[in-house]
Amino acid sequence: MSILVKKAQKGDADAFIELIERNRMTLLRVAYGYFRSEEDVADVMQETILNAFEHVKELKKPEYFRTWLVRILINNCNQMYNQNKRNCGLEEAVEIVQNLSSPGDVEFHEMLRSLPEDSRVIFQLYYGEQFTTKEIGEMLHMREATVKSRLYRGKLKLRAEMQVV
Amino acid sequence: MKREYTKKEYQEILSMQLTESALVRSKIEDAYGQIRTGGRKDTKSFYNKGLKGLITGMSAVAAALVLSVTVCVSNPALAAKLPFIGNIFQTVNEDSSYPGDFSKDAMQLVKPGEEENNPYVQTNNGITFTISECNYESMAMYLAVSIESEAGFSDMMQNFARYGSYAEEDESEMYTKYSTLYIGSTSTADFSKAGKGIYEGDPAKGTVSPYYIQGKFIDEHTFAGIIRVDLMHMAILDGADGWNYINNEDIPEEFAYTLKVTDIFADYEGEHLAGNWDFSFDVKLNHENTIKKEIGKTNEQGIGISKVTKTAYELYATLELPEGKNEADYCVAICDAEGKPLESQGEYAEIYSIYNRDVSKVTIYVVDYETYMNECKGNNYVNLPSKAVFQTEVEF
Repeated sequence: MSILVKKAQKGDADAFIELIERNRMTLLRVAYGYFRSEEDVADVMQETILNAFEHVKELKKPEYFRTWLVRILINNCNQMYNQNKRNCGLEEAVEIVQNLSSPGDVEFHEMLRSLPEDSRVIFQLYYGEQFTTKEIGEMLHMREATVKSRLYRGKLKLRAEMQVV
Repeated sequence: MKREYTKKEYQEILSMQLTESALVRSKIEDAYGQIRTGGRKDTKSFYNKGLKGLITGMSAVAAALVLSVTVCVSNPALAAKLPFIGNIFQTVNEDSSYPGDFSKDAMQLVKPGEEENNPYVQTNNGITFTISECNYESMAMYLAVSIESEAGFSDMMQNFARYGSYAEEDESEMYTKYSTLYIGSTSTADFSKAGKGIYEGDPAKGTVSPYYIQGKFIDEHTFAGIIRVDLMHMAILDGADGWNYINNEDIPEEFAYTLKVTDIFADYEGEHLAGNWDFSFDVKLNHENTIKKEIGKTNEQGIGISKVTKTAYELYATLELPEGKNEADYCVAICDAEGKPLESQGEYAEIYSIYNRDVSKVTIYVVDYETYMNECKGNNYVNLPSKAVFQTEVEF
């Protein structure tokens, strides 16, 4: 990965695209933690890729590429959420899930939707993308203790809801 | 349908290969097309659909998009109105998640009556940012800050700083007794005189710069608080392979530190106060109160504690793990001489505050992360002795 980053930093477009392809699923899954609309996810993916290309020369440590890329995505998600608040309502979200093509997709979206909103991205970054609680805290501007607490509270909340059902 | 999941299920399902929709694929291909032909062609990014004028501490990408012509000047008139300048530590020493009697070894940067033309009193866009005292301990630097708004802080901003995202929920037990203002900042710590390179705190580059101030609103125009600059988790340029973490013990006793603040907010989605407030500090770390104890003990699996470091304000136990084990899978909890658990000092969960606690003897527990969260957290601390995979006592 480091060699690809260094090539990308020298302006090698193919190397940069290869880096994005290797991290495409991570970006997609994290974006779904923020948005339910395909249009929003598509927009934020495109913007993140272009932003990353424009700033890849500033990345000092090639092995941090993935963390750096996800930081850009998160920042863009926050910005976009503020800009247009286009994320759709529950009914539309259900429609998207119903239109998904594989059982795996349905399972992924069901799990995401079952999580409390304030914990969703944290769960995705921690369990799905294997970032540490310290890294997540830095990405989301949160204390590490808060990240751990949200993970714990998210599970508790889900358990409590199960008991009510 | 909602159901409860196991850790393995979370890991497997949340890391699934998803099917990309045609729309997502098309936007990605469009971006690749622009990159292959030299860069962005489409100027209709979502930023241009109605920019609010935000600058965030998260990314230089966002910062570069918001340009405001600003002039930093000292504002003696405003500063003179602040009776607590020079005594901020005393005013807010308990109003944060990192309490301490910081005034004891503090250095005054702005003495009462000497605010005029003082580089630590800066006014920009109607906001006077003052750093009046500093305390340079070996594990963290503490900066005493006042932020004065000519127009006054809105009720919404004050409420969000105080109650955060719980403002609209009936979760009063989650309220903190302090207020938090977030800042967008970049910083540098120049260790080059000691041959250790320069630390650049910049979220856009993957490194951390101070991003919040905890304290309280003195009145609707004035916030007083403390910034904690962590010295335990820094990475510096080594000149060869990029960035490497620098061990706290390798940080030189004297170095130059800069802090550039560009944004102040309580709620990311709410009001932002943009500007430029630049500060420089000649740091001389105080090691007089630092005690280090080599422990070097582990259980049969090689899990244990290698050493413990105590400063005037905090306590940190260094986890020792066998190869292949991940620090994130374990929690280090510490109980004081009375057997009560210490609380975290600031953002790092396992740097503990010793404020008003008897730490002449402490017990350190290493617990599996899941076990800690489910069975030892909060009032369940009494389970620590039976659930820990390793424990040891240390006397100071």
